[in-house]
Amino acid sequence: MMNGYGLSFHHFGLAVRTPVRAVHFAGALGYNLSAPLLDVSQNVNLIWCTHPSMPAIEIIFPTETAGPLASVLQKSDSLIYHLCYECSDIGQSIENMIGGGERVVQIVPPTPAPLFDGREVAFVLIKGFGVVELVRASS
Amino acid sequence: MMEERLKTVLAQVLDIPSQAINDETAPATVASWDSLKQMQIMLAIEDEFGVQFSDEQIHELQSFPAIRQALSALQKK
Repeated sequence: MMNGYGLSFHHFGLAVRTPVRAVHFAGALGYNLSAPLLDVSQNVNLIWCTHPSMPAIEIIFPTETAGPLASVLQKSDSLIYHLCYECSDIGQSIENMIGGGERVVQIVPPTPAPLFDGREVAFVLIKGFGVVELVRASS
Repeated sequence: MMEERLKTVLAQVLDIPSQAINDETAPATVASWDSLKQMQIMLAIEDEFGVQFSDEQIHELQSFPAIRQALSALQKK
C-alpha cells in the first residue's frame, strides 16, 4: 500500500563491520541469503536476505577501501543504517516529501543498482528521521 | 560568538573537541568527516542558527572557514 509520499516499505539496511555474525543470525531466523555482491558505485559489499514472513534485510559491509560506512560504523560494529522504500518515481516522491514539509537532502542521486537488477536507487537524508534509500518499483 | 557556536556544532557532530577546530578543519584533516557527516553538520547548523542552506551549499561547504563564511552571509540577509 502506497502512502502520501508514494512510498512502500522495502527493506532494512543493516551496516556491519564484518558480515559473519549477521549472516549467522539471519540464517538462524530462516532468511535466504544471497552471495556477497560488490556494489562498485556505492563502494560497499551487500548480502540480500529475504524471508517468507519477515521484512527483507540488506546486510552492508565495507570494502577494503574507505567508503560511506566509515563514520556509521565508527562507534558501533552494527546498526540499522537506512530504511528503504519502493516508489514508482523517485523524483516525484522526493518532491512529495519536500512538499509535505520534510527537509530532504540528496546523498546519492538515482543510480542503477546491481542488487535490484539495475533498477534505480537513490539515497536521501530526511532531517530528524535519517538515511532513506528509495528504489524504483519494477515496471 | 557566532564562531564559538559554530565550533560547538561541528564538534558535537564530528565528536571532536571544539578547541581542535580551526581554519584547517576539513574532511582532509578530520577522519570522521565523511559525506554523511557533511550533511549532518549542515543540518545541525541550520537548527542552531535558524538558517537554511541550498542543497549545493550542503554538499560543497567542506571546511570550517567555508561554512563560517556562508553562514555569516546568510545571517546578513
